[in-house]
Amino acid sequence: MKCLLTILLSTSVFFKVVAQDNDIFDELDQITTKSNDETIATFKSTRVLLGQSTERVRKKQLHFRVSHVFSKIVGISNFFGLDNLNNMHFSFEYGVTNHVQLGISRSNKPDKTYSGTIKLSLFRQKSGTRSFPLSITYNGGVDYKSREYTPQKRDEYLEGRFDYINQLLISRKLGEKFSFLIAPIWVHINLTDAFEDPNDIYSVGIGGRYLVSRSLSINAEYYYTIPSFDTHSSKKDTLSVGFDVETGGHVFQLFFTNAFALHPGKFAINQSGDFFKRDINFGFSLLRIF
Amino acid sequence: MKNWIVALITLLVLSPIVAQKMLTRTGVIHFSSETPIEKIEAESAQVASIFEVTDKMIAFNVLMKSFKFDKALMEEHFNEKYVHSDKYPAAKFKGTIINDLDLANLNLNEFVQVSIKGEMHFHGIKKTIQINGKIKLNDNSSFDFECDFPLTLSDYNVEIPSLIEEKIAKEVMIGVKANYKKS
Repeated sequence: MKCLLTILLSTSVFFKVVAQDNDIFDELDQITTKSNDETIATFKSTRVLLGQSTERVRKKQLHFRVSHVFSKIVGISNFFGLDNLNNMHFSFEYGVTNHVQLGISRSNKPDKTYSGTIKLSLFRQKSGTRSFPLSITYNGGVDYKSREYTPQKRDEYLEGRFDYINQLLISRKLGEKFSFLIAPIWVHINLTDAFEDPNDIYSVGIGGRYLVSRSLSINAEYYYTIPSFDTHSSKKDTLSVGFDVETGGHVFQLFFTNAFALHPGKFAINQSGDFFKRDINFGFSLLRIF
Repeated sequence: MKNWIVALITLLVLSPIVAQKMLTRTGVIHFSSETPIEKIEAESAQVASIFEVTDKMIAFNVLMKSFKFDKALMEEHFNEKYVHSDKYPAAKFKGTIINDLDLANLNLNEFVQVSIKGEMHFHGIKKTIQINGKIKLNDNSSFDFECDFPLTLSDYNVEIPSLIEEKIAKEVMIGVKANYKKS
């Protein structure tokens, strides 16, 4: 009897000691206020390469971004395209709230286009008790083509200078390193250059990134344009491959692409070259976060 | 004899309930990394902590994602690239006050220096450390606790890329403040 009691006693003391160790952390877990469990850093930049990603400009932050694309890589004769700067696009984007950002941008080619953009973070990928599998963002824009048109009547026709962009960006980060994006886009052109061209063109962007090291990722992006016009050639859909390099407050992107246009109203319907026939341009962009 | 044993068992079973447990869910942990080039600071005001007065035991839990920085980008880099919050969501500490003090009967409104020896769990590493702090019993029988201590990042495998070595201190200063009330 006594022996039994001793065993009982010693085990109860033992269990108390053991239990306490984990108990205290369990207890702490229970009283800890759960913080925001949104998935972060799905992409390093607000663009996959040319097209928008689900990354956003946060509240009261300003992003300045410049991208360049050089001319077609021929060889040493044009210093692999670097002799000619083919296009330049720059943008300022401001976070009104964590979920609403407004931007203005200018793209040199092909139409000297000014754009006003809005990006709304509708849903964010989340883990934990209120988990959600995807980040879903709306990206909209109005393009104003400021170039000179001929004949004069065309030049004076203001409505003919506007294009409208509506795009849905849907992304998911799978593990620490891999993220992908699906981005259907609808471009409405008020006045097309050729009579038989459609006013509405639809395209589906797919993109992804793989983190090689913590400051470097490999990215790829492809916009599949739905064949709805005569000059369409699926070989000329925009394909870009490149890297993100991140250094503190900057993100550099270096890429090869068959596109020369750098704004979504154009590259999403881009018909400018066949990537696999070496119609490739080198480009880069620089994002500075203030 | 039997009565004595029964009494002992009851005491053993009841003792955790009797132990005076104080807690807070709104403790504050602040840290700063200071180099000649850059000062980086962050703070969490959602620190959970339990203080068991009779056992002289004190334990903390803070979620890495609850640290707020001035710049959203810094916060993101902190979580993504330095402390890997998805993998190691919280930092924990559990320790015992090693001074010979009767904590339940401290002089009112007077800070007393204390040393705490315990185990820090951070970024997947466990390490025994000793922290110096101070503790005060208030009129309303709540306790105030404060401490400051340095934390060497390399001890916990927090890597700093050589490119920005000059911007992040090898040793960050941690400041803790908590006000404990009866649970």
